[in-house]
Amino acid sequence: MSIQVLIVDDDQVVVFLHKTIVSRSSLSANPTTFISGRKTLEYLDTHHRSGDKFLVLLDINMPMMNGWELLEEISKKSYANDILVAMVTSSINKLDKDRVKEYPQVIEYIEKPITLEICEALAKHPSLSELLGIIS
Amino acid sequence: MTMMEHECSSVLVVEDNEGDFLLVSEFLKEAFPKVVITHKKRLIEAERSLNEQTFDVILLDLTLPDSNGLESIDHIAAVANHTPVIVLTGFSEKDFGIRTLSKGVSDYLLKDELSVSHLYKSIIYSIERKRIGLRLVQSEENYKALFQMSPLPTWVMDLESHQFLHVNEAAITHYGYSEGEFLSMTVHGVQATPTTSNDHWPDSVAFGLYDGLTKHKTKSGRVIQVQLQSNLIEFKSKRARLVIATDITDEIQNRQKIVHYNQRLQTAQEIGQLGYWELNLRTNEVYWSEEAYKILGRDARELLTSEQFYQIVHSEDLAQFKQARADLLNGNLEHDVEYRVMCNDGNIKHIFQRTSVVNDEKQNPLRLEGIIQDVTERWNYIKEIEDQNLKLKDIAWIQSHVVRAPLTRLMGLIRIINDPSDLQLDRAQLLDEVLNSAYELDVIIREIVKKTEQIENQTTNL
Repeated sequence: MSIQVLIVDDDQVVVFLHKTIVSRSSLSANPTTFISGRKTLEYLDTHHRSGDKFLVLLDINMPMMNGWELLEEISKKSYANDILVAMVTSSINKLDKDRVKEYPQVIEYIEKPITLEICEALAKHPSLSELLGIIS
Repeated sequence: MTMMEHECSSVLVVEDNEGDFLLVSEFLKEAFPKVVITHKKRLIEAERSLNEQTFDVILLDLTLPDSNGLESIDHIAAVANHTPVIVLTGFSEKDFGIRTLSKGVSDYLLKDELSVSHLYKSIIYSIERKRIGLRLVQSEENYKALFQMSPLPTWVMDLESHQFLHVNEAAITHYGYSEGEFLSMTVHGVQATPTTSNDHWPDSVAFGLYDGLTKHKTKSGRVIQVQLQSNLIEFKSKRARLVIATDITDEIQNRQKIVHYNQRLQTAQEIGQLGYWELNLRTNEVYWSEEAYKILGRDARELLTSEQFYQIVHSEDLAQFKQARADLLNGNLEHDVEYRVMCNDGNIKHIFQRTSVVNDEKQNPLRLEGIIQDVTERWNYIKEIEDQNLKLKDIAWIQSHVVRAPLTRLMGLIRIINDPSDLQLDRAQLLDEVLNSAYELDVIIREIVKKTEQIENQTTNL
Protein backbone atom coordinates (compact mmCIF):
# COMPACT_ATOMS: atom_id res chain seq x y z
CA MET A 1 0.00 0.00 0.00
CA SER A 2 1.30 3.41 -0.92
CA ILE A 3 -0.07 6.88 -1.26
CA GLN A 4 0.67 9.52 -3.84
CA VAL A 5 0.58 13.20 -2.85
CA LEU A 6 -0.84 15.78 -5.29
CA ILE A 7 -0.41 19.54 -4.79
CA VAL A 8 -3.09 21.65 -6.56
CA ASP A 9 -2.80 25.46 -6.67
CA ASP A 10 -3.15 28.01 -9.49
CA ASP A 11 -0.34 30.12 -7.98
CA GLN A 12 3.07 28.95 -9.33
CA VAL A 13 4.95 30.44 -6.40
CA VAL A 14 2.69 28.65 -3.94
CA VAL A 15 3.12 25.37 -5.83
CA PHE A 16 6.88 25.82 -5.61
CA LEU A 17 6.69 26.63 -1.86
CA HIS A 18 4.40 23.70 -1.08
CA LYS A 19 6.41 21.26 -3.14
CA THR A 20 9.60 22.35 -1.33
CA ILE A 21 8.07 21.90 2.10
CA VAL A 22 6.14 18.68 1.42
CA SER A 23 9.21 17.02 -0.06
CA ARG A 24 11.11 17.72 3.14
CA SER A 25 8.30 16.14 5.21
CA SER A 26 7.37 12.50 5.73
CA LEU A 27 4.28 12.94 3.47
CA SER A 28 6.08 12.45 0.19
CA ALA A 29 9.60 12.85 -1.17
CA ASN A 30 8.28 13.60 -4.63
CA PRO A 31 4.82 15.17 -4.76
CA THR A 32 3.09 15.76 -8.10
CA THR A 33 1.91 19.34 -8.75
CA PHE A 34 -0.97 20.79 -10.79
CA ILE A 35 -1.98 24.42 -11.48
CA SER A 36 -5.70 23.69 -12.22
CA GLY A 37 -8.56 21.45 -11.11
CA ARG A 38 -9.14 20.28 -14.68
CA LYS A 39 -5.56 19.01 -15.05
CA THR A 40 -5.81 17.22 -11.69
CA LEU A 41 -9.00 15.43 -12.72
CA GLU A 42 -7.46 14.35 -16.05
CA TYR A 43 -4.45 12.95 -14.17
CA LEU A 44 -6.60 11.01 -11.71
CA ASP A 45 -8.77 9.61 -14.52
CA THR A 46 -5.77 8.31 -16.45
CA HIS A 47 -3.40 7.29 -13.63
CA HIS A 48 -5.70 5.76 -11.11
CA ARG A 49 -5.21 2.02 -10.68
CA SER A 50 -7.12 -0.26 -8.41
CA GLY A 51 -5.65 -0.08 -4.89
CA ASP A 52 -4.01 3.32 -5.47
CA LYS A 53 -4.53 6.01 -2.86
CA PHE A 54 -4.10 9.75 -3.39
CA LEU A 55 -3.73 12.61 -0.93
CA VAL A 56 -4.71 15.91 -2.60
CA LEU A 57 -3.55 19.18 -1.04
CA LEU A 58 -6.24 21.30 -2.63
CA ASP A 59 -6.48 25.09 -2.95
CA ILE A 60 -10.06 26.48 -2.88
CA ASN A 61 -9.83 29.74 -4.82
CA MET A 62 -8.83 28.88 -8.38
CA PRO A 63 -10.11 30.13 -11.77
CA MET A 64 -12.19 27.89 -14.12
CA MET A 65 -12.65 25.05 -11.63
CA ASN A 66 -12.25 25.90 -8.00
CA GLY A 67 -11.47 23.49 -5.17
CA TRP A 68 -15.10 22.82 -4.35
CA GLU A 69 -15.99 22.07 -7.97
CA LEU A 70 -13.10 19.64 -8.23
CA LEU A 71 -14.33 17.93 -5.05
CA GLU A 72 -17.81 17.59 -6.63
CA GLU A 73 -16.32 15.97 -9.71
CA ILE A 74 -14.21 13.57 -7.66
CA SER A 75 -17.28 12.55 -5.60
CA LYS A 76 -18.92 11.25 -8.80
CA LYS A 77 -15.95 9.04 -9.73
CA SER A 78 -15.71 5.30 -9.10
CA TYR A 79 -12.40 5.94 -7.30
CA ALA A 80 -13.93 8.59 -5.00
CA ASN A 81 -13.17 6.48 -1.93
CA ASP A 82 -9.48 6.25 -2.84
CA ILE A 83 -9.03 10.02 -2.65
CA LEU A 84 -8.20 11.85 0.57
CA VAL A 85 -8.25 15.62 0.51
CA ALA A 86 -6.71 18.31 2.67
CA MET A 87 -8.13 21.74 1.81
CA VAL A 88 -5.25 24.17 1.76
CA THR A 89 -6.42 27.75 1.56
CA SER A 90 -5.65 31.33 2.44
CA SER A 91 -9.29 31.64 3.51
CA ILE A 92 -10.05 32.14 7.17
CA ASN A 93 -13.75 32.50 6.27
CA LYS A 94 -16.04 30.42 8.47
CA LEU A 95 -18.34 29.55 5.53
CA ASP A 96 -15.47 27.73 3.79
CA LYS A 97 -14.51 25.92 6.96
CA ASP A 98 -18.11 24.73 7.54
CA ARG A 99 -18.48 23.51 3.99
CA VAL A 100 -15.68 21.00 4.47
CA LYS A 101 -18.07 18.80 6.48
CA GLU A 102 -20.17 18.13 3.36
CA TYR A 103 -17.42 16.08 1.75
CA PRO A 104 -16.34 12.75 3.33
CA GLN A 105 -13.08 12.83 1.37
CA VAL A 106 -11.84 15.90 3.21
CA ILE A 107 -9.75 14.93 6.21
CA GLU A 108 -8.23 18.30 7.06
CA TYR A 109 -8.62 22.04 6.59
CA ILE A 110 -5.27 23.80 6.46
CA GLU A 111 -4.67 27.54 6.47
CA LYS A 112 -1.81 28.77 4.29
CA PRO A 113 1.09 28.97 4.47
CA ILE A 114 1.93 25.29 4.81
CA THR A 115 4.76 24.61 7.21
CA LEU A 116 6.81 21.55 7.93
CA GLU A 117 5.00 21.19 11.26
CA ILE A 118 1.63 21.13 9.52
CA CYS A 119 2.81 18.45 7.10
CA GLU A 120 4.06 16.27 9.92
CA ALA A 121 0.83 16.67 11.85
CA LEU A 122 -1.12 15.72 8.74
CA ALA A 123 1.04 12.63 8.23
CA LYS A 124 -0.10 11.41 11.64
CA HIS A 125 -3.77 11.69 10.66
CA PRO A 126 -5.42 8.29 11.39
CA SER A 127 -6.47 7.74 7.78
CA LEU A 128 -2.94 8.46 6.57
CA SER A 129 -0.52 7.13 9.14
CA GLU A 130 -1.02 3.50 8.20
CA LEU A 131 -0.65 4.19 4.50
CA LEU A 132 2.53 6.14 5.13
CA GLY A 133 3.92 3.49 7.45
CA ILE A 134 4.18 5.87 10.36
CA ILE A 135 3.68 4.56 13.87
CA SER A 136 2.07 7.28 15.87
CA MET B 1 -127.69 39.33 -1.41
CA THR B 2 -130.02 36.39 -0.80
CA MET B 3 -133.57 36.44 0.44
CA MET B 4 -132.52 34.85 3.70
CA GLU B 5 -130.42 37.85 4.61
CA HIS B 6 -133.45 40.00 4.00
CA GLU B 7 -135.70 37.91 6.18
CA CYS B 8 -137.75 39.84 8.60
CA SER B 9 -138.75 37.64 11.54
CA SER B 10 -140.40 39.96 14.06
CA VAL B 11 -142.64 42.96 13.50
CA LEU B 12 -144.33 45.29 15.96
CA VAL B 13 -147.54 46.67 14.48
CA VAL B 14 -148.99 49.67 16.34
CA GLU B 15 -152.53 50.02 14.96
CA ASP B 16 -155.87 50.63 16.73
CA ASN B 17 -158.05 49.84 13.71
CA GLU B 18 -158.81 46.06 13.56
CA GLY B 19 -159.60 46.09 9.85
CA ASP B 20 -156.37 47.87 8.97
CA PHE B 21 -154.39 45.50 11.23
CA LEU B 22 -155.97 42.49 9.53
CA LEU B 23 -154.97 43.80 6.12
CA VAL B 24 -151.42 44.61 7.18
CA SER B 25 -150.90 41.32 8.95
CA GLU B 26 -152.12 39.37 5.89
CA PHE B 27 -149.67 41.20 3.69
CA LEU B 28 -146.86 40.64 6.23
CA LYS B 29 -147.49 36.89 6.40
CA GLU B 30 -147.50 36.69 2.66
CA ALA B 31 -144.26 38.65 2.33
CA PHE B 32 -142.49 36.95 5.24
CA PRO B 33 -144.07 33.49 5.87
CA LYS B 34 -142.23 32.94 9.16
CA VAL B 35 -142.85 36.38 10.61
CA VAL B 36 -143.98 36.82 14.25
CA ILE B 37 -146.35 39.74 14.56
CA THR B 38 -146.83 41.63 17.81
CA HIS B 39 -149.94 43.81 17.75
CA LYS B 40 -150.37 46.89 20.01
CA LYS B 41 -153.30 49.32 19.87
CA ARG B 42 -151.95 52.05 22.06
CA LEU B 43 -148.74 54.02 22.11
CA ILE B 44 -148.12 53.25 25.78
CA GLU B 45 -148.41 49.51 25.15
CA ALA B 46 -146.07 49.79 22.20
CA GLU B 47 -143.51 51.63 24.31
CA ARG B 48 -143.69 49.02 27.01
CA SER B 49 -143.25 46.24 24.47
CA LEU B 50 -140.20 47.99 22.96
CA ASN B 51 -138.60 48.26 26.36
CA GLU B 52 -138.94 44.50 26.80
CA GLN B 53 -137.86 43.18 23.44
CA THR B 54 -136.45 44.16 20.08
CA PHE B 55 -138.03 43.84 16.67
CA ASP B 56 -136.73 43.87 13.13
CA VAL B 57 -139.14 46.64 12.15
CA ILE B 58 -141.95 48.77 13.65
CA LEU B 59 -145.09 49.64 11.64
CA LEU B 60 -146.68 52.69 13.21
CA ASP B 61 -150.18 54.09 12.56
CA LEU B 62 -150.26 57.81 13.17
CA THR B 63 -153.81 58.06 14.60
CA LEU B 64 -153.82 56.27 17.94
CA PRO B 65 -156.23 56.68 20.85
CA ASP B 66 -153.52 57.98 23.20
CA SER B 67 -151.28 59.85 20.76
CA ASN B 68 -151.22 61.45 17.40
CA GLY B 69 -148.98 62.33 14.47
CA LEU B 70 -145.51 63.67 15.22
CA GLU B 71 -145.94 63.06 18.93
CA SER B 72 -146.28 59.30 18.34
CA ILE B 73 -143.20 59.35 16.14
CA ASP B 74 -141.11 61.15 18.79
CA HIS B 75 -142.13 58.69 21.45
CA ILE B 76 -141.52 55.58 19.40
CA ALA B 77 -138.23 56.86 18.00
CA ALA B 78 -137.02 57.49 21.55
CA VAL B 79 -137.38 53.81 22.47
CA ALA B 80 -136.95 52.19 19.06
CA ASN B 81 -133.18 52.25 19.46
CA HIS B 82 -131.83 51.07 16.08
CA THR B 83 -135.07 49.48 14.88
CA PRO B 84 -136.39 51.09 11.70
CA VAL B 85 -139.84 52.73 11.97
CA ILE B 86 -142.24 52.70 9.01
CA VAL B 87 -145.22 55.05 9.27
CA LEU B 88 -148.65 53.92 8.03
CA THR B 89 -151.30 56.54 7.41
CA GLY B 90 -154.73 56.81 5.91
CA PHE B 91 -154.27 60.09 4.15
CA SER B 92 -151.75 61.48 1.79
CA GLU B 93 -149.95 64.50 3.04
CA LYS B 94 -146.66 65.01 1.32
CA ASP B 95 -145.19 67.75 3.51
CA PHE B 96 -146.05 65.91 6.65
CA GLY B 97 -144.54 62.70 5.31
CA ILE B 98 -141.28 64.43 4.49
CA ARG B 99 -141.21 66.03 7.96
CA THR B 100 -141.62 62.59 9.58
CA LEU B 101 -138.64 61.26 7.58
CA SER B 102 -136.29 63.77 9.20
CA LYS B 103 -137.50 62.61 12.60
CA GLY B 104 -135.90 59.20 12.10
CA VAL B 105 -138.70 57.45 10.27
CA SER B 106 -137.51 55.08 7.58
CA ASP B 107 -140.48 55.16 5.24
CA TYR B 108 -143.95 56.56 4.87
CA LEU B 109 -146.69 54.32 3.45
CA LEU B 110 -150.32 55.12 2.46
CA LYS B 111 -152.74 52.42 3.61
CA ASP B 112 -154.83 52.74 0.43
CA GLU B 113 -151.85 52.04 -1.77
CA LEU B 114 -150.52 49.16 0.34
CA SER B 115 -149.62 45.87 -1.42
CA VAL B 116 -147.51 42.84 -0.51
CA SER B 117 -144.62 43.83 -2.75
CA HIS B 118 -144.84 47.41 -1.65
CA LEU B 119 -144.67 46.46 2.00
CA TYR B 120 -141.96 43.86 1.40
CA LYS B 121 -139.73 46.33 -0.40
CA SER B 122 -140.23 49.02 2.20
CA ILE B 123 -139.39 46.73 5.12
CA ILE B 124 -136.32 45.19 3.47
CA TYR B 125 -134.94 48.56 2.40
CA SER B 126 -135.58 50.06 5.83
CA ILE B 127 -133.74 47.26 7.61
CA GLU B 128 -130.83 47.42 5.17
CA ARG B 129 -130.59 51.21 5.33
CA LYS B 130 -130.49 51.07 9.09
CA ARG B 131 -127.80 48.43 9.01
CA ILE B 132 -125.63 50.50 6.65
CA GLY B 133 -126.21 53.56 8.77
CA LEU B 134 -125.08 51.71 11.84
CA ARG B 135 -121.98 50.49 10.07
CA LEU B 136 -121.12 54.06 9.07
CA VAL B 137 -121.47 55.23 12.65
CA GLN B 138 -119.25 52.36 13.74
CA SER B 139 -116.57 53.05 11.18
CA GLU B 140 -116.60 56.74 11.98
CA GLU B 141 -115.97 55.84 15.60
CA ASN B 142 -113.12 53.54 14.54
CA TYR B 143 -111.55 56.34 12.57
CA LYS B 144 -111.87 58.72 15.49
CA ALA B 145 -110.09 56.18 17.67
CA LEU B 146 -107.35 55.72 15.07
CA PHE B 147 -106.85 59.45 14.92
CA GLN B 148 -106.71 59.84 18.68
CA MET B 149 -104.58 56.79 19.39
CA SER B 150 -102.05 57.29 16.60
CA PRO B 151 -98.53 57.65 18.04
CA LEU B 152 -97.74 60.17 15.31
CA PRO B 153 -98.79 63.81 15.77
CA THR B 154 -101.86 64.20 13.57
CA TRP B 155 -104.21 67.10 12.99
CA VAL B 156 -106.97 68.41 10.80
CA MET B 157 -106.53 71.93 9.44
CA ASP B 158 -108.88 74.22 7.62
CA LEU B 159 -108.05 74.30 3.95
CA GLU B 160 -108.65 78.07 3.62
CA SER B 161 -107.64 79.60 6.96
CA HIS B 162 -105.06 76.95 7.92
CA GLN B 163 -106.61 76.98 11.38
CA PHE B 164 -106.18 73.80 13.49
CA LEU B 165 -109.59 72.14 13.63
CA HIS B 166 -108.71 68.96 15.46
CA VAL B 167 -105.50 67.58 17.02
CA ASN B 168 -104.67 64.21 18.50
CA GLU B 169 -103.03 63.32 21.80
CA ALA B 170 -99.63 62.67 20.19
CA ALA B 171 -99.60 66.19 18.71
CA ILE B 172 -100.37 67.69 22.11
CA THR B 173 -97.60 65.65 23.79
CA HIS B 174 -95.04 66.22 21.07
CA TYR B 175 -95.59 69.94 20.47
CA GLY B 176 -96.44 70.88 24.06
CA TYR B 177 -99.52 72.95 23.19
CA SER B 178 -102.84 72.13 24.84
CA GLU B 179 -105.79 71.27 22.65
CA GLY B 180 -107.24 74.71 23.30
CA GLU B 181 -104.01 76.43 22.32
CA PHE B 182 -103.82 74.40 19.14
CA LEU B 183 -107.37 75.19 18.13
CA SER B 184 -106.73 78.93 18.51
CA MET B 185 -103.66 78.74 16.20
CA THR B 186 -103.00 78.32 12.50
CA VAL B 187 -100.35 75.86 11.28
CA HIS B 188 -98.01 78.81 10.67
CA GLY B 189 -97.75 79.12 14.42
CA VAL B 190 -95.73 75.91 14.64
CA GLN B 191 -93.44 76.73 11.72
CA ALA B 192 -89.83 77.29 12.83
CA THR B 193 -89.34 79.92 10.17
CA PRO B 194 -92.17 82.38 9.34
CA THR B 195 -94.24 81.26 6.40
CA THR B 196 -97.13 82.63 4.50
CA SER B 197 -100.10 80.58 3.46
CA ASN B 198 -98.58 79.76 0.08
CA ASP B 199 -95.17 78.62 1.25
CA HIS B 200 -95.92 75.18 2.44
CA TRP B 201 -99.31 74.34 1.24
CA PRO B 202 -99.52 74.12 -2.49
CA ASP B 203 -102.88 75.01 -3.85
CA SER B 204 -105.30 73.15 -1.69
CA VAL B 205 -107.70 71.82 -4.25
CA ALA B 206 -105.27 70.90 -6.97
CA PHE B 207 -103.26 68.58 -4.74
CA GLY B 208 -105.14 65.89 -2.91
CA LEU B 209 -101.97 64.54 -1.34
CA TYR B 210 -99.18 66.66 -0.08
CA ASP B 211 -95.91 65.33 1.28
CA GLY B 212 -93.05 67.47 2.36
CA LEU B 213 -90.19 68.23 4.73
CA THR B 214 -90.26 71.23 7.00
CA LYS B 215 -89.04 72.53 10.34
CA HIS B 216 -91.44 73.00 13.22
CA LYS B 217 -91.03 74.64 16.59
CA THR B 218 -92.53 73.18 19.76
CA LYS B 219 -94.01 75.34 22.49
CA SER B 220 -90.71 75.11 24.42
CA GLY B 221 -88.86 76.49 21.39
CA ARG B 222 -87.21 73.26 20.29
CA VAL B 223 -86.85 73.08 16.52
CA ILE B 224 -87.70 69.69 15.01
CA GLN B 225 -87.45 68.37 11.47
CA VAL B 226 -90.71 66.88 10.35
CA GLN B 227 -91.89 64.86 7.43
CA LEU B 228 -95.48 65.79 6.56
CA GLN B 229 -98.00 63.58 4.83
CA SER B 230 -101.43 64.88 4.17
CA ASN B 231 -104.66 64.30 2.37
CA LEU B 232 -107.83 66.26 1.74
CA ILE B 233 -110.86 65.33 3.82
CA GLU B 234 -114.20 66.77 4.71
CA PHE B 235 -114.37 67.68 8.37
CA LYS B 236 -117.64 68.85 9.91
CA SER B 237 -118.85 69.89 6.45
CA LYS B 238 -115.73 71.95 5.86
CA ARG B 239 -113.01 71.28 3.33
CA ALA B 240 -109.98 70.41 5.39
CA ARG B 241 -106.60 68.68 5.31
CA LEU B 242 -105.59 65.75 7.48
CA VAL B 243 -101.89 66.03 8.28
CA ILE B 244 -99.57 63.42 9.84
CA ALA B 245 -96.26 64.79 11.08
CA THR B 246 -93.29 62.43 11.63
CA ASP B 247 -90.43 63.84 13.68
CA ILE B 248 -87.26 62.83 11.81
CA THR B 249 -84.81 65.03 13.74
CA ASP B 250 -83.00 62.04 15.30
CA GLU B 251 -82.98 60.15 12.05
CA ILE B 252 -81.35 63.09 10.24
CA GLN B 253 -78.80 63.52 13.01
CA ASN B 254 -77.94 59.82 12.92
CA ARG B 255 -77.58 59.97 9.17
CA GLN B 256 -75.22 62.93 9.49
CA LYS B 257 -73.24 61.11 12.15
CA ILE B 258 -72.79 58.10 9.87
CA VAL B 259 -71.64 60.33 7.03
CA HIS B 260 -69.21 61.99 9.42
CA TYR B 261 -67.84 58.67 10.70
CA ASN B 262 -67.38 57.41 7.17
CA GLN B 263 -65.42 60.51 6.27
CA ARG B 264 -63.17 60.08 9.28
CA LEU B 265 -62.66 56.40 8.49
CA GLN B 266 -61.70 57.27 4.94
CA THR B 267 -59.24 59.91 6.13
CA ALA B 268 -57.70 57.42 8.55
CA GLN B 269 -57.32 54.91 5.71
CA GLU B 270 -55.69 57.53 3.52
CA ILE B 271 -53.22 58.57 6.20
CA GLY B 272 -52.38 54.99 7.15
CA GLN B 273 -52.39 53.92 3.48
CA LEU B 274 -54.67 51.13 4.60
CA GLY B 275 -57.29 49.68 2.32
CA TYR B 276 -60.32 47.81 3.60
CA TRP B 277 -62.09 45.01 1.75
CA GLU B 278 -64.85 42.48 2.22
CA LEU B 279 -65.64 39.29 0.34
CA ASN B 280 -69.11 37.82 0.55
CA LEU B 281 -68.55 34.07 0.41
CA ARG B 282 -72.10 33.36 -0.75
CA THR B 283 -72.20 35.75 -3.71
CA ASN B 284 -68.44 36.01 -4.21
CA GLU B 285 -68.85 39.77 -4.45
CA VAL B 286 -66.04 41.97 -3.24
CA TYR B 287 -66.21 45.39 -1.70
CA TRP B 288 -63.09 47.57 -1.82
CA SER B 289 -62.65 50.86 -0.02
CA GLU B 290 -61.47 53.92 -1.96
CA GLU B 291 -57.98 53.59 -0.54
CA ALA B 292 -57.85 49.89 -1.46
CA TYR B 293 -58.35 50.77 -5.12
CA LYS B 294 -55.58 53.34 -4.88
CA ILE B 295 -53.22 50.81 -3.28
CA LEU B 296 -53.94 48.20 -5.94
CA GLY B 297 -53.63 50.80 -8.68
CA ARG B 298 -56.89 49.58 -10.16
CA ASP B 299 -60.28 50.75 -11.24
CA ALA B 300 -63.32 49.83 -9.18
CA ARG B 301 -65.03 47.99 -12.02
CA GLU B 302 -62.18 45.54 -12.60
CA LEU B 303 -62.25 43.86 -9.19
CA LEU B 304 -65.76 42.72 -8.54
CA THR B 305 -65.04 39.03 -7.86
CA SER B 306 -62.23 36.92 -6.39
CA GLU B 307 -61.44 35.55 -9.85
CA GLN B 308 -60.87 39.03 -11.21
CA PHE B 309 -58.64 39.76 -8.26
CA TYR B 310 -56.61 36.55 -8.76
CA GLN B 311 -55.72 37.80 -12.23
CA ILE B 312 -53.77 40.74 -10.87
CA VAL B 313 -51.91 38.76 -8.21
CA HIS B 314 -48.35 37.90 -9.32
CA SER B 315 -48.42 34.36 -10.71
CA GLU B 316 -45.57 33.25 -8.41
CA ASP B 317 -47.54 34.35 -5.33
CA LEU B 318 -50.92 33.01 -6.36
CA ALA B 319 -50.52 29.51 -4.90
CA GLN B 320 -49.44 30.89 -1.53
CA PHE B 321 -52.31 33.38 -1.64
CA LYS B 322 -54.90 30.69 -2.37
CA GLN B 323 -53.42 28.43 0.33
CA ALA B 324 -53.79 31.22 2.87
CA ARG B 325 -57.44 31.58 1.90
CA ALA B 326 -58.04 27.83 2.15
CA ASP B 327 -56.47 27.81 5.64
CA LEU B 328 -58.81 30.58 6.67
CA LEU B 329 -61.86 28.66 5.58
CA ASN B 330 -60.60 25.59 7.40
CA GLY B 331 -60.74 27.19 10.80
CA ASN B 332 -57.94 29.75 10.95
CA LEU B 333 -59.55 32.94 12.17
CA GLU B 334 -56.85 35.32 11.05
CA HIS B 335 -54.11 35.19 8.49
CA ASP B 336 -51.33 37.48 7.29
CA VAL B 337 -49.94 37.16 3.82
CA GLU B 338 -47.60 39.14 1.59
CA TYR B 339 -47.92 39.05 -2.17
CA ARG B 340 -47.30 41.10 -5.28
CA VAL B 341 -49.88 42.62 -7.59
CA MET B 342 -49.53 43.86 -11.13
CA CYS B 343 -50.67 47.46 -11.49
CA ASN B 344 -52.21 48.91 -14.60
CA ASP B 345 -49.11 51.04 -15.20
CA GLY B 346 -46.95 47.88 -15.32
CA ASN B 347 -45.44 48.39 -11.88
CA ILE B 348 -45.35 45.62 -9.31
CA LYS B 349 -46.51 46.44 -5.81
CA HIS B 350 -45.86 44.50 -2.65
CA ILE B 351 -48.98 44.11 -0.53
CA PHE B 352 -49.34 43.09 3.07
CA GLN B 353 -52.75 41.63 3.82
CA ARG B 354 -54.40 40.67 7.10
CA THR B 355 -57.58 38.69 6.70
CA SER B 356 -60.14 37.48 9.18
CA VAL B 357 -63.24 35.33 8.85
CA VAL B 358 -66.69 36.45 9.90
CA ASN B 359 -68.98 33.53 10.72
CA ASP B 360 -72.74 33.46 10.78
CA GLU B 361 -74.70 32.39 13.86
CA LYS B 362 -74.20 28.71 12.91
CA GLN B 363 -70.42 29.24 12.80
CA ASN B 364 -70.30 28.86 9.04
CA PRO B 365 -67.98 31.28 7.21
CA LEU B 366 -70.09 34.16 5.95
CA ARG B 367 -67.52 36.57 4.66
CA LEU B 368 -63.87 37.46 4.72
CA GLU B 369 -62.73 40.91 5.64
CA GLY B 370 -59.34 42.43 5.85
CA ILE B 371 -56.94 45.24 5.34
CA ILE B 372 -54.28 45.69 2.72
CA GLN B 373 -51.22 47.85 2.98
CA ASP B 374 -48.77 48.93 0.32
CA VAL B 375 -45.38 47.71 1.61
CA THR B 376 -43.50 48.21 -1.66
CA GLU B 377 -41.31 50.93 -0.19
CA ARG B 378 -40.43 48.87 2.85
CA TRP B 379 -39.85 45.84 0.66
CA ASN B 380 -37.53 47.76 -1.68
CA TYR B 381 -35.66 49.07 1.31
CA ILE B 382 -35.16 45.56 2.68
CA LYS B 383 -34.15 44.34 -0.76
CA GLU B 384 -31.53 47.08 -0.96
CA ILE B 385 -30.17 46.17 2.46
CA GLU B 386 -30.04 42.52 1.45
CA ASP B 387 -28.16 43.47 -1.70
CA GLN B 388 -25.72 45.40 0.41
CA ASN B 389 -25.27 42.49 2.74
CA LEU B 390 -24.41 40.36 -0.25
CA LYS B 391 -21.79 42.91 -1.28
CA LEU B 392 -20.42 42.98 2.24
CA LYS B 393 -20.21 39.20 2.26
CA ASP B 394 -18.46 39.45 -1.04
CA ILE B 395 -15.91 41.80 0.49
CA ALA B 396 -15.42 39.48 3.43
CA TRP B 397 -14.84 36.57 1.06
CA ILE B 398 -12.42 38.57 -1.07
CA GLN B 399 -10.59 39.60 2.04
CA SER B 400 -10.38 36.03 3.14
CA HIS B 401 -9.17 34.57 -0.15
CA VAL B 402 -7.68 37.29 -2.27
CA VAL B 403 -6.02 39.41 0.40
CA ARG B 404 -4.61 36.45 2.24
CA ALA B 405 -3.35 34.80 -0.95
CA PRO B 406 -0.32 37.11 -1.47
CA LEU B 407 0.01 37.44 2.30
CA THR B 408 0.32 33.71 2.90
CA ARG B 409 2.66 33.53 -0.07
CA LEU B 410 4.85 36.21 1.56
CA MET B 411 4.82 34.29 4.82
CA GLY B 412 5.81 31.06 3.07
CA LEU B 413 8.54 32.72 1.00
CA ILE B 414 10.15 34.44 3.95
CA ARG B 415 10.13 31.22 5.93
CA ILE B 416 12.07 29.42 3.18
CA ILE B 417 14.46 32.31 2.61
CA ASN B 418 15.21 32.33 6.30
CA ASP B 419 16.01 28.63 6.37
CA PRO B 420 19.83 28.51 6.52
CA SER B 421 19.96 24.74 5.91
CA ASP B 422 18.86 25.05 2.29
CA LEU B 423 21.91 25.95 0.28
CA GLN B 424 20.50 25.31 -3.18
CA LEU B 425 17.92 28.11 -3.05
CA ASP B 426 18.12 31.06 -5.44
CA ARG B 427 17.43 33.68 -2.77
CA ALA B 428 17.52 36.62 -5.20
CA GLN B 429 14.66 35.15 -7.24
CA LEU B 430 12.68 34.45 -4.08
CA LEU B 431 13.13 38.06 -2.97
CA ASP B 432 11.71 39.19 -6.34
CA GLU B 433 8.65 37.06 -5.55
CA VAL B 434 8.41 38.70 -2.15
CA LEU B 435 8.28 42.13 -3.84
CA ASN B 436 5.70 40.93 -6.41
CA SER B 437 3.49 39.61 -3.63
CA ALA B 438 3.75 42.92 -1.76
CA TYR B 439 2.64 44.86 -4.89
CA GLU B 440 -0.18 42.41 -5.48
CA LEU B 441 -1.33 42.94 -1.91
CA ASP B 442 -1.32 46.70 -2.40
CA VAL B 443 -3.54 46.47 -5.52
CA ILE B 444 -6.04 44.28 -3.69
CA ILE B 445 -6.26 46.58 -0.67
CA ARG B 446 -6.93 49.56 -2.95
CA GLU B 447 -9.70 47.57 -4.67
CA ILE B 448 -11.38 46.80 -1.35
CA VAL B 449 -11.27 50.42 -0.21
CA LYS B 450 -12.97 51.41 -3.50
CA LYS B 451 -15.80 48.85 -3.05
CA THR B 452 -16.42 49.89 0.54
CA GLU B 453 -16.69 53.53 -0.54
CA GLN B 454 -19.34 52.56 -3.11
CA ILE B 455 -21.48 50.97 -0.43
CA GLU B 456 -21.09 53.95 1.86
CA ASN B 457 -22.34 56.22 -0.93
CA GLN B 458 -25.38 54.01 -1.54
CA THR B 459 -26.21 53.96 2.15
CA THR B 460 -26.29 57.74 2.34
CA ASN B 461 -28.61 57.79 -0.68
CA LEU B 462 -31.20 55.58 1.02
